Amino acid sequence: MTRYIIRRLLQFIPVILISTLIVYALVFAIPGDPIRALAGDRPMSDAVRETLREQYNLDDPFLVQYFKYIWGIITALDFGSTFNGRPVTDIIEQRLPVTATLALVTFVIQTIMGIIAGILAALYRDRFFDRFVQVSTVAMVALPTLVIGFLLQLIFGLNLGWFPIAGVNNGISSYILPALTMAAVSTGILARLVRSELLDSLKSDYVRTATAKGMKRTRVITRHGLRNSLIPAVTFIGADLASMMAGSIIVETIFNLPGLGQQVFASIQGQEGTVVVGIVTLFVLFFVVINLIVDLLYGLLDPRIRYE
Amino acid sequence: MHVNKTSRRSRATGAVAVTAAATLALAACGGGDNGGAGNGEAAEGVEGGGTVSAYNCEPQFLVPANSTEVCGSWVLGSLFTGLTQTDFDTYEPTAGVAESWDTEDNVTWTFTLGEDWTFHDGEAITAQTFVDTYNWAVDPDNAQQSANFFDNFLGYQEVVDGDAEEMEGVRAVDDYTLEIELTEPFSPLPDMLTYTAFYPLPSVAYDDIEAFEQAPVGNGRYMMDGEWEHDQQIAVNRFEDWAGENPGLPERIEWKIYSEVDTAYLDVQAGNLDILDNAPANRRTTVEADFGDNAQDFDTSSFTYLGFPLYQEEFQDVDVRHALSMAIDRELIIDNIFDGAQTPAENIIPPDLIEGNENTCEFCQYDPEAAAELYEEAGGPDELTVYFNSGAGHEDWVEAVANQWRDNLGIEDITFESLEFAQYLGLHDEQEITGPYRLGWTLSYPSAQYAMEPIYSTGASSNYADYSSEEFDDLLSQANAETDPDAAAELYTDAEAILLEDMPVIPLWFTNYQVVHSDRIDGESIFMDQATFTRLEQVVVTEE
Repeated sequence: MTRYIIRRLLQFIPVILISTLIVYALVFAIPGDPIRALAGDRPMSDAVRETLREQYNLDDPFLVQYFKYIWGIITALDFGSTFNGRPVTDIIEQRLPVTATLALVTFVIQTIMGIIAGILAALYRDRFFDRFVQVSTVAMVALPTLVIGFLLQLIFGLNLGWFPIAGVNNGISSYILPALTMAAVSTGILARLVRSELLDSLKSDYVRTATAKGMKRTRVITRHGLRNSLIPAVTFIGADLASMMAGSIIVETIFNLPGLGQQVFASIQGQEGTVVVGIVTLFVLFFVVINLIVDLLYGLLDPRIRYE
Repeated sequence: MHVNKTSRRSRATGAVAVTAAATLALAACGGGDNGGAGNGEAAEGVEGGGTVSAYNCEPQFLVPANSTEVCGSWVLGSLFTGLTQTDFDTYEPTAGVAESWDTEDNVTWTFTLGEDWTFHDGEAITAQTFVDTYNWAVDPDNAQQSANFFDNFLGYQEVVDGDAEEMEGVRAVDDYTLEIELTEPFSPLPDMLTYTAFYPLPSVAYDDIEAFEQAPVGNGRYMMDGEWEHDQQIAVNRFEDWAGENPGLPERIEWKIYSEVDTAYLDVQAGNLDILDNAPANRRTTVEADFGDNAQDFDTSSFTYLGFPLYQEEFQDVDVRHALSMAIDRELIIDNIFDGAQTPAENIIPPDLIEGNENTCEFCQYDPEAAAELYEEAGGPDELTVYFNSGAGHEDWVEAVANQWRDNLGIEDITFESLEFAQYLGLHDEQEITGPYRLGWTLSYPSAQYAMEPIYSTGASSNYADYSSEEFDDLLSQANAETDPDAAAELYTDAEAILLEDMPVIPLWFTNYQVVHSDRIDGESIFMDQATFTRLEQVVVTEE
């Protein structure tokens, strides 16, 4: 087990190196001079432009720029800075808590709502609640995130005034609408997944045996039915949590949450390679760690799965 | 009801003959009225002035000489006061830190500074403060983006080339007398000095400019309350020791930073935000229903044009340019695509300026028949590529213009080249544009000179059309050298007439901004200046 974890952790190094190289190359490939764009319609004097290009190594070939960047991280933990001189580490430090809170609230909402709705739908199969879950989840999955976001803002922010429309100044309630927006699609998928898995296992032999032995229904459902249907759900939740960072780009922008997603969006537009790479690296790290945790969870849920 | 404040204001044309000395007198007796529309006399304002919150985008920089965009300049305008300020009733320069100024020849200028100006940290402001700031701003090592605003100061080039430490043309004669010497006569200097790049810096700024930027110490009506909370807000409180004539009305201004204007719009509607200075274009049709009287329109100097790459042969015939201009129905496009949010441009100089005039541009009138005939005779190109930068909402109107060219001039083959802004500017720099291109211009300071010189004079920094007219250049330098403002205004108008005749660019429209606000604000007190800044310092807050 320990050896397995160490081996997986060592795999992170090439994954991160390669992904940062790709991201760096992509940002580098955006045509045009980012320094030129800083000043907008107004031209900047050559002297100023040269100073800035030099300061950000923009005149070096791509690989040289990349290695200077990596070298800065290795030797001095210097993750570079934006074109207006803010260190990337400052930005991450300021924005990470926002995105982490958003991810956490989203995770809690979608897991609880998805699993409960799935279980109830399965138990009350073909009854009203089941139909309701079936229809509403289709709507949740089909509606674009943007539309869901605006709808929630309009209804719960503007008309009912229950939650703030934007910003993070109202504590946890600031995160409710953005998290609901971000959770919508996954809640829908998760509910359907849990429903069908649970229906499958409730029909299976071991559940019938357990029932025949006189076990209480709740115990049958939780110990035998649910536990076995959870493996696909955990896989899904894990993959979803890992990809949540991408979802944060849209949601943070429309709800004006100063998180990492919003920054990535702005930085890609501004061709701020170092910022994009810094944050994307963090996303990648998060992704691989979550995947590792999911793999380890399998072992707990199904003792037949073992890692050596 | 949308009241057009700027056109209601009495327009000062030609008749405003004010020498520098008279300006001072005017400023001195003008006293408390720096506001354009309905000012502080509104009695219903809350005691102390209250707090106003306003939408803003995240500034790039908060160092005056480095700030070139509106988000940062807006904040800096409240934190700093330059040598001069603009009087928004007349768009003339009025006293700032300098009480008065004088020049014989528009080359050497003497500024007499007020003696009780200090920075927010108590540091006194003297002539030397400006000498140090200006030299620091042009030093290439400091890479300040607005450094080239100083390019007509004597000794600028030497500092840029590294041959000198300080500009010869900026001198402290004594503590409160500053002398500025230029390389050539330049009458709009007092106007130019109102611009962000010319604000003074306290000595603490030079110790660590990046730290300074997080909480700039200025000399303006407002001082920072805490640090710049990136992407969230910037809060400032009134600086009670401000030495100027009319201190800010609100006690506190909070700029709330949004990544989406639409979200800010909803927040104003919900009463969480007081002022959004530019309602998004897609909301134009619902603003009336959403806000009623809480919305107002303002004309600005924000000018959109289609330029011609005159370095390409097919655009060298002026008839081709006239025909292309006359074939555009500006009103139709403005009504259908912008829901009326623009004012058709029949000028190069924004009409609200002193030098602005009502004379219409002959070739800006929509006349499809005449245009077709002219185009045919001149043998205009039968295929065109139209250039614009992508992602900034230009697609629709550029396509509409192209359709009108197709219909009216019979140009069948029109293609579009839309590029990311950085790449787009690069093409201009390399002169690789092969067809009409979109660009815009907003006045940094209210002067006809700035509306024309950087874009149209031979070899100028933003002259992407590569336009060159000796006559125009002459008129402009005469105007810049003219000491009588009346005569200068006339010369600028003559220069403008040449542009409208030669048409290196097709004037399209001046952007109209729509300000929406919450119920906490007295709508009468809201005013947006030509540079598109809502003057928050004169907003009356009616409820806490």
